[in-house]
Amino acid sequence: MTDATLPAGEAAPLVARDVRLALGDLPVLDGIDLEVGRGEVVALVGPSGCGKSTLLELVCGLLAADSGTLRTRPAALMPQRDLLLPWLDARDNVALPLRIAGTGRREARARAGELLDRVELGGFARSRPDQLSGGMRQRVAFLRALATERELLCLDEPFGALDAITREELRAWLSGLLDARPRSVLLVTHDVEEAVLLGDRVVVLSPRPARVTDVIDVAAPRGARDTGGTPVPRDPTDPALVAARRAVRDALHAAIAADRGRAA
Amino acid sequence: MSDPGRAPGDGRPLPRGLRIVLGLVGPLLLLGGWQAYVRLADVDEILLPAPTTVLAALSDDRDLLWDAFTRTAQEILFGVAIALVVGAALAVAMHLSRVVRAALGPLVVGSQAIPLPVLAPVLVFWLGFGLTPKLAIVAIICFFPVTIATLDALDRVDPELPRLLRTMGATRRQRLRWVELPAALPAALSGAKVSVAIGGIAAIFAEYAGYEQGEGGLGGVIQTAQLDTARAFAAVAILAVFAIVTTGALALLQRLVAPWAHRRPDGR
Repeated sequence: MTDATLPAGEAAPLVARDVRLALGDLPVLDGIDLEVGRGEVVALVGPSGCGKSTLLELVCGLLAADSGTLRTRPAALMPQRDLLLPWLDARDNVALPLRIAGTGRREARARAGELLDRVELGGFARSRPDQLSGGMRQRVAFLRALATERELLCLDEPFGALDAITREELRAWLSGLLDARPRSVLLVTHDVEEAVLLGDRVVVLSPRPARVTDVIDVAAPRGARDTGGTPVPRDPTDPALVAARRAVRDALHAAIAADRGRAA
Repeated sequence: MSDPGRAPGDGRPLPRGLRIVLGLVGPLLLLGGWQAYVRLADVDEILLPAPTTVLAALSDDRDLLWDAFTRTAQEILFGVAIALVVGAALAVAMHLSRVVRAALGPLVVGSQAIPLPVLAPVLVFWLGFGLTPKLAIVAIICFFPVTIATLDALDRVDPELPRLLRTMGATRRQRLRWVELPAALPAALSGAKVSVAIGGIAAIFAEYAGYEQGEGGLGGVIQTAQLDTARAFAAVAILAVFAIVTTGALALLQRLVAPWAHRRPDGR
């Protein structure tokens, strides 16, 4: 894996046009338009149960759309629950996608070990998941997604199951990693704060069946560094961030209100 | 987040010394009561020998009993080993194929309804008086707990795990190798613990059904004890201790090969 560069590829890793999907009789996706450019972090927010997870399943190849076009580069999924295999230590969990892709054990372990070392988690390489804290397990789960070396990372509410303090810590950790080594990311969250802190763009979905109601650009730059060269997370009080947060919140409320109006 | 390996209730495990003492209390109370009953009620020792009489028989007949024990122990250990392999393989086959499950499910359960005294002579008739029919009988009785426990564990694997592996492009075989088999391993060994406990009974019945002169194992000892009831009881005592030891050994093995499935007393 190369350091400060994106995995190879020319086009946008994800382009969805008018994607529709019903699960049984239940329409879930009602014409989704979505694009994730190279190196771009797109946050997807919407009311719970709106179909965000279904959309991720589509992108990760677990489902097929009923209609519309979905062009996507191979995607790696980081689930909300870490889903680390309890019988493997942290290093072998990170190495898992490599092993499945056919890499030998020694080589896969070496690369997973490097990845852990690089984010200073090398000391936990031989710990089993039950010996790690919740925050640590999510970090390992993120590294496992990175280890796939796929062009698109799909993060499904990656910090949703954590306590508030750990969540904040991991957001900063993730934003630092993404600034240091940009990736194309589709971040599903129901946390507006998270969406504007990490996202370049925030895509707002309506209640189910999901449509894109708004796309909000977060005009605050990412990738600032302090004098020592360490990436600094965005400042939540940055006026651009405050504005984006308000815009996303308004858009969400409008989408929910419109849905209520439709139902009434 | 609660530790899934921790037992419900007070949580802290008992100190090892206390655990061993408590494990001895039950048997000692039973033996004490038994001894008092035989002595005070003046029971005929041909019907029920006192524990001290059994102990004397253990010592007097130790060569005979040791020789018989090694035979029976072999039957139990190899029989359970076969049961573990066949039982687990059967569970995996039933897990992977709905056809296999539908075809073999009733047979697996039905096989457990056959009384041993009916089954044993038939197998001896087919397989002779040697070790083979005994292994077959022990295995037939003992595969069942392994199959049931393993199949249950395979069916209960968190469906999100194989789904995640599918996003990594894993084949059915890879999902089995990385997720389902390791998840079922502790359960298969739990099944084997039940198996060794009932394996003794199976081995004794197998021996009852027929053996060459002097090769009857503990079952042969019990069958030929006649009026020397104490000797038969001595054989039973050996079987009981063997069941306790083998079950403990399997618990240890489980801890070694599936450490993630166990609570760690130091909380790490």
